[in-house]
Amino acid sequence: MSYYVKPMAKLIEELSKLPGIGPKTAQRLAFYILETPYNKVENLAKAIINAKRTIRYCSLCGNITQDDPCSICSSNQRDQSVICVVEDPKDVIAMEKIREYKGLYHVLHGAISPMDGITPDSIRIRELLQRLKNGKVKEVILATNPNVEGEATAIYIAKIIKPLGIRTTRIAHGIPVGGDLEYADEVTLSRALEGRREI
Amino acid sequence: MFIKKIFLKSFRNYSGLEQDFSPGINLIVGQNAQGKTNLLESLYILSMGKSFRTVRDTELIKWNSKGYVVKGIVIKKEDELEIKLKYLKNDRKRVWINNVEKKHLRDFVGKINVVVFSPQDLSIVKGEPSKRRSFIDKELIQVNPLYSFYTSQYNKVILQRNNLLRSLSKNSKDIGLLEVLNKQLAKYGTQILLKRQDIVRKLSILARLIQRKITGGKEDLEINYISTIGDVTDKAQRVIYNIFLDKLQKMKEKEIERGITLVGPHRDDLTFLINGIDTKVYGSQGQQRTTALSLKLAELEFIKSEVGDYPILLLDDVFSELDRDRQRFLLKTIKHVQTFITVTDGMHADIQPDRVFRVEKGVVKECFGIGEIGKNTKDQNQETWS
Repeated sequence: MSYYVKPMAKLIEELSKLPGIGPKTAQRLAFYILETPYNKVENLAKAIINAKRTIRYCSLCGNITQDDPCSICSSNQRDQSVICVVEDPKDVIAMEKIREYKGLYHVLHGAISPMDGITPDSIRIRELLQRLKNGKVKEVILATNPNVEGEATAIYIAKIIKPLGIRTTRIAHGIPVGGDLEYADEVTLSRALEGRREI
Repeated sequence: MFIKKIFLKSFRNYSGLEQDFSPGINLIVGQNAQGKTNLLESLYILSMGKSFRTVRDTELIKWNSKGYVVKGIVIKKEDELEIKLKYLKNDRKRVWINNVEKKHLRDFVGKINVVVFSPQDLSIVKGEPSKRRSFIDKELIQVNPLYSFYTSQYNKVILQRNNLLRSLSKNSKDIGLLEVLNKQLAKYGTQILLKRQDIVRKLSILARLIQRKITGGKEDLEINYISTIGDVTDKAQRVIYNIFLDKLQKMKEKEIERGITLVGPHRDDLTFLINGIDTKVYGSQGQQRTTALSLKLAELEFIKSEVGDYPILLLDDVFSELDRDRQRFLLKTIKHVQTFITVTDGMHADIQPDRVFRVEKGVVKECFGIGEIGKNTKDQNQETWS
């Protein structure tokens, strides 16, 4: 890095800390920024600062928001009796894209993984239980990822919700729509078979 | 199925090789450290996507090269299949079938099936339990594509669970999480147990027949699966799942104290009984050897019954270790199997090969007739090729 003048070296270093950005890409971005007009760079910098300053986590669902509670939690158009539990704010966006789901969300910010020191206490399970106390919620949909950690999280939450008498469901796993059966891998196909239902 | 042709590039001590083979018996002769086993290893890699000798792919690269390529043309039920594996340093292994790249190695593994028999295989009978587990796991991966998914999930749960157990020994507030991981462990573990029991049952029947034939009916071989969770023989999935959960419940204190998962398929074992007596402990060298041979031939028949075609047999330096009767029995059995036999010079007694190759410093040359085989074996007793 000593080939660069100090401010440039610093810029490359900071950029390369971003996910998916290696030293080469960081260098390319840094040069691009240098060649960009001053006001455009200022816009970028402002956008970063502004996003960071104004966006916070919703105190109810844990999703990213500008206002607290977020637009979904405070909307009277949404079905207050269903909560969909996801691992990450990105998953909320994925769910919202389908435009079918009208219930609320709960973002856990992670999945249980003792290996990484993530216990039930380190993700927002306690907050979920708090939300269930008001008695309005009739169903909890567990939409954590279909890997070992996501499954463990789903089973754990189901276990502690069961005594409350709230319906608990898990999203199905299987064949992507529009895909051909012959292209699905064996694991997915077997999971789809497991979760089959009558039509 | 058989391998028609193989291409190697900077693999072990081969800088480049293009060689076709007979669908029958291929005898590979050569002195030590010339590349005989390397050739078998490359065939094994085409089947399993990894070596039977090492876990480090960098070891497979020829000295001073960037990576290696192994490619084979395989005839499988009259179809011709081109399979290719390429590994470059600091990259993942990449695989192609008929020039189409596959995303997962598991889509590649088992496209062709091989059975290796090498002197180390005696450790399946004599060695520690992990040798026996990996023996049946390797078979299952070849015939059941889902099996490697279950084992990888199972191993992930074990890792998570062991971490939890260790933290529970200091602080018991997450005890509820243990139940969750128990369920996951039992779920994947049950699948593994079912598949393993099934294969052991089948192998046992086959090996028993073979052992009887080899020993002229004197030895009765029985293979049993011994699970650490208790007796699960012939039980239904649901029942095994519950036995597993009960056992985990019973082991709870001990496991927290030790900080590791003490029961489950990752700790199970096989026993080989000859006339009711455990071969591992009380068997003679000869009996252990016969058992290993029976097991390997049972494996051959098992794969045939599962995939409908005999696998390719790789005999690495074991032929000369067998006595005459067993050699003869082996040769009789492999009539319909493409076989690769490596021997050091002068040790090829009764074999009647279809083609003979001499390996010398990473170069393969075919030998035609007696004169050529004997070329470099002047000081050794000459064998006749009747």
